[in-house]
Amino acid sequence: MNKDYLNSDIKFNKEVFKTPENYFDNVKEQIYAKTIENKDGQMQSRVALWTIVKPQLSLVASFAIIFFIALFVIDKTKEITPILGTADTSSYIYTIEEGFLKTNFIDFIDPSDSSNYREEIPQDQLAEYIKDNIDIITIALLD
Amino acid sequence: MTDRDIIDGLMNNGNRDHLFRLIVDKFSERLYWHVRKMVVYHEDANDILQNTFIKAWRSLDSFRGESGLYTWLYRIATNESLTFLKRDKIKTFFSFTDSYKNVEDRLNADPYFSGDETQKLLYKAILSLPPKQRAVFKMRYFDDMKYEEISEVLNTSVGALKASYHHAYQKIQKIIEDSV
Repeated sequence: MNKDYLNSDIKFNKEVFKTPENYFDNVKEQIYAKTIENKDGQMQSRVALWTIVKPQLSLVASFAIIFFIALFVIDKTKEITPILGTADTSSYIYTIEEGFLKTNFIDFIDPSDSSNYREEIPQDQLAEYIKDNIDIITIALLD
Repeated sequence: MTDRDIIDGLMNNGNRDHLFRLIVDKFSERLYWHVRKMVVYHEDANDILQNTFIKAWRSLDSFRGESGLYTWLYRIATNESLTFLKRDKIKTFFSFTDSYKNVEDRLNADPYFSGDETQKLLYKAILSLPPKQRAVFKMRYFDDMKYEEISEVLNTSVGALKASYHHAYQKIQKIIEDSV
């Protein structure tokens, strides 16, 4: 069976606590000074709740500010990324909206047409096309 | 001068300053020890005692003498102690520190505590109790008050007080048991 410490070993006696010398005489004088001699009876200054929570609130506010800055930056990055990733599409859409389509001579060539169309292609346009589409042409040649 | 004489003096517009001096003179020491056993530290007990008398002074006109002078002051002191303990609990919570370690450090450094290791252990355990539970434990264990008397002071049912004391007793017993 467990020992009942509270009923056996530990006995409270007032001597456990001490007070400063002449404490009771002094405290009475202090009480009189704050009551009878000072009719306003100002309360002892207490630590206000605001004083207690102020440092913690500052900390929380700092974290909140950092969080919102991070959120703002992430949002901005998200907005920028699609623009960068779809630059060609945007430009395409922009061109359509303006009523124009960026075309190339190749768009008008019908491979099934046996007419001698090559002669009608200006050399400078052909050179420009090859320069712009060298990757596609290379792949097509490999096939 | 008896308590009755002081009350009669207050009721009959006697010299308030003189009567209040008598009240402070008569009850300050008893009230100090009541508060000290609740809050343990001298500085805290000193603040609470002074606030108790300041409140009593402010509400002297509303005292109707329906209860005894000491009972009236005892209630004010208990309420002040409980308010202090609750505020202290909030302060400890928001300080993000180890409350048990704080208690231990403060008790070890307290020049007005002269208990041996076992008594120190008891007070550390008491300081870990929630404010109201601590008040119930103090009144029952140290002051041998009846549950009905505690009920009047704390305005809580006897059943709730019995349960609260039982929990406090078991908790302190366990803390001591684990440490011995």
